[in-house]
Amino acid sequence: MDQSVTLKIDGRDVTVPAGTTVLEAARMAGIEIPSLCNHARLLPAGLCRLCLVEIEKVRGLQPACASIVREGMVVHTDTPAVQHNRRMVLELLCTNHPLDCPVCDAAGDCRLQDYVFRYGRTTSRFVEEKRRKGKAIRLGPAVILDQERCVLCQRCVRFCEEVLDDRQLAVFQRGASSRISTMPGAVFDSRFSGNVVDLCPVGALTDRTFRFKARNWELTGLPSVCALCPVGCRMTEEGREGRLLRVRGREAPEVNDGWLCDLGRTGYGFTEHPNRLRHPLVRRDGHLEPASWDEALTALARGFGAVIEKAGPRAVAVLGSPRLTNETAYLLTRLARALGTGNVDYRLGTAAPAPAQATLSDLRQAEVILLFQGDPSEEAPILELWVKQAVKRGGRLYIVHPRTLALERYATGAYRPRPGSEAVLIAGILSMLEQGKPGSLPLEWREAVSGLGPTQVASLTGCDREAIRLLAEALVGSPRAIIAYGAGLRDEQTLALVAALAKATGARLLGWDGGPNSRGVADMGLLPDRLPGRAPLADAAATAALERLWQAPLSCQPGLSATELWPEMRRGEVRALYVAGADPVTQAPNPQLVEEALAHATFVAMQEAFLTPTAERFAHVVLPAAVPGEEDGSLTNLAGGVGWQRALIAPLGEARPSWRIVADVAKALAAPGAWEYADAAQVLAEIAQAIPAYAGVEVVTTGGYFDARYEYEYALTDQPPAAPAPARVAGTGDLALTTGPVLFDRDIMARHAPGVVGRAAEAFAAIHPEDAERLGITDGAPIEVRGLFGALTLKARVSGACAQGTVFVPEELSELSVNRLGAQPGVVVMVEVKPLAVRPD
Amino acid sequence: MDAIFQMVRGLWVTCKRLVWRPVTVQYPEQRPQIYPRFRGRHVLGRHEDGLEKCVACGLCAAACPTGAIYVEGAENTEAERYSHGERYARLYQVNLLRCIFCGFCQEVCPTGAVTLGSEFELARYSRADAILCKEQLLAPKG
Ligand code: SF4
Ligand code: SF4
Ligand code: SF4
Ligand code: SF4
Ligand code: FES
Repeated sequence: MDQSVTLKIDGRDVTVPAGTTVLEAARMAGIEIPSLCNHARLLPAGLCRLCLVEIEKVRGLQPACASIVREGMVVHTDTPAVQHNRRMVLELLCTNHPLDCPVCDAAGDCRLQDYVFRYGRTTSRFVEEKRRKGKAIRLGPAVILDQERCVLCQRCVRFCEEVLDDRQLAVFQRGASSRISTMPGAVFDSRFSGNVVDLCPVGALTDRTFRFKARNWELTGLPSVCALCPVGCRMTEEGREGRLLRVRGREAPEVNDGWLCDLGRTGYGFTEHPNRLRHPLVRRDGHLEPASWDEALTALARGFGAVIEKAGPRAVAVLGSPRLTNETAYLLTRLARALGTGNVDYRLGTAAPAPAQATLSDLRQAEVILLFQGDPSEEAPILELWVKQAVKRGGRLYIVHPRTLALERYATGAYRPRPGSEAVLIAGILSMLEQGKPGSLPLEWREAVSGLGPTQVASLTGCDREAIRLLAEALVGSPRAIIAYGAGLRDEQTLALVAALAKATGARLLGWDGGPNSRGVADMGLLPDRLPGRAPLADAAATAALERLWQAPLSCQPGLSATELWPEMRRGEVRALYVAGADPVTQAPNPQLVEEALAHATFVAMQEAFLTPTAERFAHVVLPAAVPGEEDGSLTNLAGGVGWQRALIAPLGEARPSWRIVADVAKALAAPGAWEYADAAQVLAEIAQAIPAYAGVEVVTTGGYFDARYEYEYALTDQPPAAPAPARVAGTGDLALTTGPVLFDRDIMARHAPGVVGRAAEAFAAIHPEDAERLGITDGAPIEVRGLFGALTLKARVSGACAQGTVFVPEELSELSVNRLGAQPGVVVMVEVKPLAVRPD
Repeated sequence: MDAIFQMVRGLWVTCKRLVWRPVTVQYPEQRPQIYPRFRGRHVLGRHEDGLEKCVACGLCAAACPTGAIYVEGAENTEAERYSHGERYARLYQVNLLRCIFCGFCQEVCPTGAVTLGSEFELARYSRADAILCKEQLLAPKG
């Protein structure tokens, strides 16, 4: 690529990197060559013949999309022969094309329409009956196909082949009868199916959630960021008349490169859900009743004021959520510290993510990837594509996960350590490194891993000793190794070991948990023992700088974490709680304790878009918050890239942007410091001052968005990694519980998005065939899973993907929270599974 | 000489009108005659089978120089069919206060659905009433 080539296109000298196609070179020079089948992110196919150009000294017309530039090449794109060919190709395409532009969703944004208008004949010479093919075929949950409109460019087919490596679509029949279809009887249900709609140059493939809602020229769009998972895909929101109607991918090579998963593409429907909160609610005589903002804020000030007066600020706690934007999280942190409490957290059963050392482009080019306790397909879908791409380029994938993942067929090695022994596996690899090359670990780490010989590790984890050694070698042997950990890693001890492994092997870390903005929220200091920028509380310089910025004395007392909070609240030590975007009754590991604690609280205020179970039962004041699409704000993705989420439409009813609610609450509580912000960008400007790592981050108003990446190191813990403690086992059953998010039913937002409802399976529990047989369970039968705090009735899914001796229950499916079973970080919960008698109907 | 001629000509016109019947129409007691190409309130036509002609293509709204038309499409289902084909107008509104009766909407409509009809009594007591919805615009069935 370092060489460049100079050629002549239409008499103009053009210099481009070697290896460029003529089509691309012309585009760079601002010369348009019409093309239908070519797409920058797919391999050239040379199918449509629309891009034919004349190249001197080459006989016949040549496809510009498939010709590579050569030094001294002379290209003509506008000769009579070229024009004639274009006219002919377009006329032939139109012979059977239905020309139903008035009812076609692509009209106004259709290549065929544009090209016929620009290069084609005005009247057709074909007057014969057109060929009829299938119309409005429902290919899958997200995509509808009109075979008559298809120009057979095969972009959709090539996407399935090249990007998904899953041939869900293909061309059937031949000649003029050729048509796109799924395999007979199959459903196009890929997680990425919606991308073919963006790819289709005409209106053959249309988006089910958008279909017919507006014409292309009526839409206004804004560049934004998907707020539904930690990838933070760059996308464009489009809408009309105050409604968000469509979401499409946006070019961003560093993040999603234009692709979106179907959750992001079709999941925006929550903006219009009838259950959205439209007014503040205040509890009167035990019932939540609509109130004005003034009434609600007054009630809130009274509630918190009384508690602070009686029991001091430390009786107040603030609970955020990884769904908050950086601005909201930052203001919440500031509010808590300004009020004088350190009881601020957002982690309900997760660990704060470690620094991101790799970008997503690094992942796409990685040589070795260790995927630890994470399932990209369900947790951060775009990563599935990037891992596949890395493997395609010759990278090796190693997976440590309790289940068989969809990605496992790309893996060089797959490890299924016994539940609870994952940390031992990591420590074992560390100890192997030390044994292989003594002195390769810092002295204080050695203790943590001493006594973990290969045999012992193998017997503790149940993994093959030789296989572990191969993994260790692979990690050490490659300069482009990445350790990617996912939502399955929930405790800080294991995280510390994983970080140590990365350091020892030189691999770079990349990690995520189930929350979309966990990294950003942690960076904003929504943690009991950290300041914004994750500086430790004891950091005097950081504290002084913040006090200057906030014009308020700072409470630097370490507070209670979200785990420690509930017992204290039950004892009456913590009496007032402010919850932003979280639903502890559903999400916290110990729901019983949480319910008891909340019942003891004197005052609970929440800001939420929907009435969550927590709000319904325990809140005294509920403030209606805006949802993505309705509010500006920045989100930090799993690789540390900051994206600016835009408000395309106004918040529903009286709802307000979340960051503004926090500022309003602060004003109502008369918290020290100034709380006047004109917009979210102003809050971000303050964040850039408060957190050195975000210093370069700003909203570029011209482009409407920005993409920045921060990189900074901070100590995960001040202690060296500890020896993995033997896993705590709780429960009396005989199957170990594993859990994790499921893409299409991962949280309250997805559950309120009509476009994705129904794409997640009915609440199920996966169980290994042998366990199923032993327990007398058949596939699809109702079963009862009994855990620490109760039982769930679920549908059995007998599957070899689930390791023997374990049962997998999705984290939140149809509002059945796995927390009822007692899933919690660092504990192996043994659950009892039994078949339920089917009532004869 | 010329001035006298002009005066006589003017008087001649006056005298001629004296014996003509008055052209004033005693509206509303008397209904005026509407010519075929008169451009009055919009009518959304139906096919012979009673289905709506409009397919919500939005071209009328795009062509309208005053932004008087608002169209929102939706998909026909087997159970609820409004038009032939897949697409129909879920909403079709005309703001009579904006419309200048230029007829562009009628000219651009690919299905001949919208036509400017003969109704000219368009005064309303409120601005909101001047926004006609699909049900008010649709030609009666049959
Ligand atoms: S459906 Fe669209 S993308 Fe697929 S081959 Fe046809 S025109 Fe191309
Ligand atoms: S991968 Fe994540 S960020 Fe991207 S579209 Fe899907 S949910 Fe949104
Ligand atoms: S007649 Fe003219 S102004 Fe009136 S709605 Fe039609 S296009 Fe618009
Ligand atoms: S009236 Fe005609 S132009 Fe207007 S939306 Fe309906 S079909 Fe299209
Ligand atoms: S774009 Fe070159 S053949 Fe289709």
